[in-house]
Amino acid sequence: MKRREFIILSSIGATSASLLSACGHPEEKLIPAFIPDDEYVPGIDYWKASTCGMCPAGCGIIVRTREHKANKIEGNPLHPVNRGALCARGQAGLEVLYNPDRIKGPMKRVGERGEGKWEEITWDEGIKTLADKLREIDPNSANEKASFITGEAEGVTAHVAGRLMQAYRQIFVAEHSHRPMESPGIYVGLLSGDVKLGEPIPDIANATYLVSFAARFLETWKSPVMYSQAYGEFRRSHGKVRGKFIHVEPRMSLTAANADEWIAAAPRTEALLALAMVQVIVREGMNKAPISDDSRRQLEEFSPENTASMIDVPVEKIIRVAREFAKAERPLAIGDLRSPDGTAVHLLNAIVENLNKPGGVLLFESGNSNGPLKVPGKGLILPGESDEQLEKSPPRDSVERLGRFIQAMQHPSRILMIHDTNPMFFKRGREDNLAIPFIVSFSSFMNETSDAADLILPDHTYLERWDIHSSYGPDGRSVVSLTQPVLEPQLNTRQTADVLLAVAREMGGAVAEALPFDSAKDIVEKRVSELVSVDHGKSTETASSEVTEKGVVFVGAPTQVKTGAERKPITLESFYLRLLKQDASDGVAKPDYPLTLIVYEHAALGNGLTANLPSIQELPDPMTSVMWGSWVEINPKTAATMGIADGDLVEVTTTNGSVRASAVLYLGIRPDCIAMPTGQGHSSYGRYARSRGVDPTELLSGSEETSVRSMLTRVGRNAQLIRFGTDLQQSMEKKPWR
Amino acid sequence: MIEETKSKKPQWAMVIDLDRCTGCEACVVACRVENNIPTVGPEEAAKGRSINWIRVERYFEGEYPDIKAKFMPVLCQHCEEAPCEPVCPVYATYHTDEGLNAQVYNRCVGTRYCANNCPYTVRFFNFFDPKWDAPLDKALNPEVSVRTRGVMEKCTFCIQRIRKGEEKAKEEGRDVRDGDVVPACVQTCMTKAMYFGNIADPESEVSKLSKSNRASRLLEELGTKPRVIYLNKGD
Repeated sequence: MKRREFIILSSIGATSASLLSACGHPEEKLIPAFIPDDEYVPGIDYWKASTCGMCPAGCGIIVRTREHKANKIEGNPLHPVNRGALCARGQAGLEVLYNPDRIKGPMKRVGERGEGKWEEITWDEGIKTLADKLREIDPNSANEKASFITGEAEGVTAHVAGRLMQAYRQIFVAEHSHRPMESPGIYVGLLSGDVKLGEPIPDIANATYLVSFAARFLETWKSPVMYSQAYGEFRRSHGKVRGKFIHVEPRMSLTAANADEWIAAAPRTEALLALAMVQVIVREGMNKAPISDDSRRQLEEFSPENTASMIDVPVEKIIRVAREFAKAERPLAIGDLRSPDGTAVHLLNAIVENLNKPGGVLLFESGNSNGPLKVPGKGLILPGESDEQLEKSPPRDSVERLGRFIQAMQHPSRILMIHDTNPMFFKRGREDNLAIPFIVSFSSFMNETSDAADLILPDHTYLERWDIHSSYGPDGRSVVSLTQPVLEPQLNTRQTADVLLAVAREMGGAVAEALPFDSAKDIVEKRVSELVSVDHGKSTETASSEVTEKGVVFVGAPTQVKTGAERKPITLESFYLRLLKQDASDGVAKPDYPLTLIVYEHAALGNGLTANLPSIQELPDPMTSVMWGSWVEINPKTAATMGIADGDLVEVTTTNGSVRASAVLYLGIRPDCIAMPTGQGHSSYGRYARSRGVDPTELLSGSEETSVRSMLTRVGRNAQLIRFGTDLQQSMEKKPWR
Repeated sequence: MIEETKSKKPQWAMVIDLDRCTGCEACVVACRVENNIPTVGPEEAAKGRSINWIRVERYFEGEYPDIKAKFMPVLCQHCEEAPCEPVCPVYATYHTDEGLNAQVYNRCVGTRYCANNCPYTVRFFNFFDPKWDAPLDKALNPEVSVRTRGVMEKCTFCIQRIRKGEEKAKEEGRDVRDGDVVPACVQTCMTKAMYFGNIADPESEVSKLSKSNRASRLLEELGTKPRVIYLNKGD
């Protein structure tokens, strides 16, 4: 067993809570689960530790409560992922808990589907209805299936729902949106022995030269709080030179805006640019890792001279950046690119051999990649798959998983259960889903999916439920943190895992046997006690009560992968080089659709999950100052040729449809591109989100795409564009401040 | 710049390192939650009535493709020579002996002269009574008063946190030191771009950073002597 390090929050209980709340150091005043009423003192701040649920990064939070009300969320200073900091989304979390549009209890549909007529029911009735419906399905029939999809890749819901569906031989998909991650396979040749790699961690804090290929690590990429903190150190820390940061993206995102140099490469050519850099490094003999002669020859096709026109960046610039990268003390490349494009970025790291060095890529053996609770089939169960087949499921970040995912999602079902994701928000596939005879929504909110449901069994919000979350710290250590209720449930909602356990009990037989648990809390506590009992000196009871009472963070020591003493030369596979070129050439202009539309994730609204929070709606976008709506970014030069002025209503058309939004003249975008943020365009989801802006993802050709050819037309003047601006900003724009 | 003050009390000041600031706006939401700042909704926001005690300004320089952007968080600068103070007819805005530019809400009669005279446009007027759709009001911070219609408001440097920090130091029989007072914006900052402390204490971090050769103050030439010090990008 690996040695585990344990962080214990100092134990100050309710009895010793000072009248002064812990200003500056609230972590010293964290309190146990719930305080009995006779000990509850009004006017005192009680801080509760838990885990943020606003994105999958898993930052630790502490919540300030008083008089049984939560009034502030802060980052947990003792949590290795975010070390006290929290992003804008995390700060707005109380608007989830106290949202006026939360569903108050279980409901069943009484009118036509989508009509919005509901009848409140009891939990017993809701559970019985679902169990009866599930019983109607013959587990051995190939066509009649029930599907459970959840947006949570792991955790207690995926654990319980997965086991339920496995026992009942039905379909299960955890993490609804699927995107194969960049493959770190390129590193394997440089490593000694046959190892399974975990997710590579870029050590941004200690790098001196950082090239980011469209990885918006300050906004949306993987773990934004963790990487923002690393960025702060990258810029300024004692005894370290100020790092230089190059960002490659066709549009100037907030991350690009913080770069020392923004390279506006043509859309989908990021990987080509990375390869051109590799070619320069190899031909000038600056590579530290050896490369095979075959690969060297293959790379010639990707020289800057051959690809610069496609990338639309001058040859000299590519050569300069490649040289700077290779000569830098601690170079690092990161990318938000899909397989196989991601390989090109990893190749840059491999060629300068920054693996497991400060400021380089940290590689670890894949440890608990399946999360602290086992999820059957690694989160994907296809119709009729046996237990043995599930054991051999391909890893979560593999390309072959995509095919399985599509198969699971397209299989016709009679019952569709939807948790923590909102598939009906997207036009694509909505009709197919609506054809399913019985739909159950576990959402806490009336969103597009709840609207289409026949039965709503609302879940607690993340501040009211039990869960375990696994993530990793900046040094690659795996972190397991606890989600626990910071308050009693505010409404007649119930944690979905508990509902599913009750459904299983109601169904009886093999299904009930597969889920021998009392509650989600029970599962979480059991797992925590298993984790803490690993060589920890203390008795399991003491250690786990410390965890559950104090919202403790559990940190596993990483096993760093060793780089081989005898290195094999890097070998490139020609098929993927072909793919790269093909992908880039897809972007070539067609006369009918002269502009490339880039659809990007809004930093605060995400893909729409936070659109029902007023503080996030009224948060001005940092690049455009727009609030409460959607917009289209256009380079002023392009706009001038089309007679479009700032604030005009424009229509964006692709082969998949068209949407209308306000034009924003934006200096930070390529003239042959336009860009739109995601997050708006809800037809439901409460008073703050409903009928506001548009969802640009419906213009894309597939759910895996982020750009598409488009055309733009002006529709009218003076669209509703709400911006936050001040006189100071206007005067400073004219006279730039040094 | 040496702080001239006769007061023996702590002199509060903030330092913002623009080389670390990414413009992420976590501070903006943290401030809203901590200080009970209402959202006003799209209709009022369109009229310029949205309230942000701290905001992030973005400036572009250059032309495509050689374009650069800079971010600057702007909040009340707590000027030592505050232009907003002498114009208030009812002494609602005044200077405390801790160097804070304070606002007494129940004195304010809403002339808005102060906002007119503030070169930093950080003062906001309540055009109507604030509204939180129930149960959002449950999340209100009980230590911060809610401002009513007709009243000016602005950043207080989280006065409620300052008071708590000072009381804690007093209880422990010592002077305030770094870390005792952490305003909400500084607390949440992801890149640790913001510092807060007593600039009269030569050992405090803000004191040391304010002497950096990167230090400057916003619209220094106006002679307002801001208590917010910005550290510029670069070496």
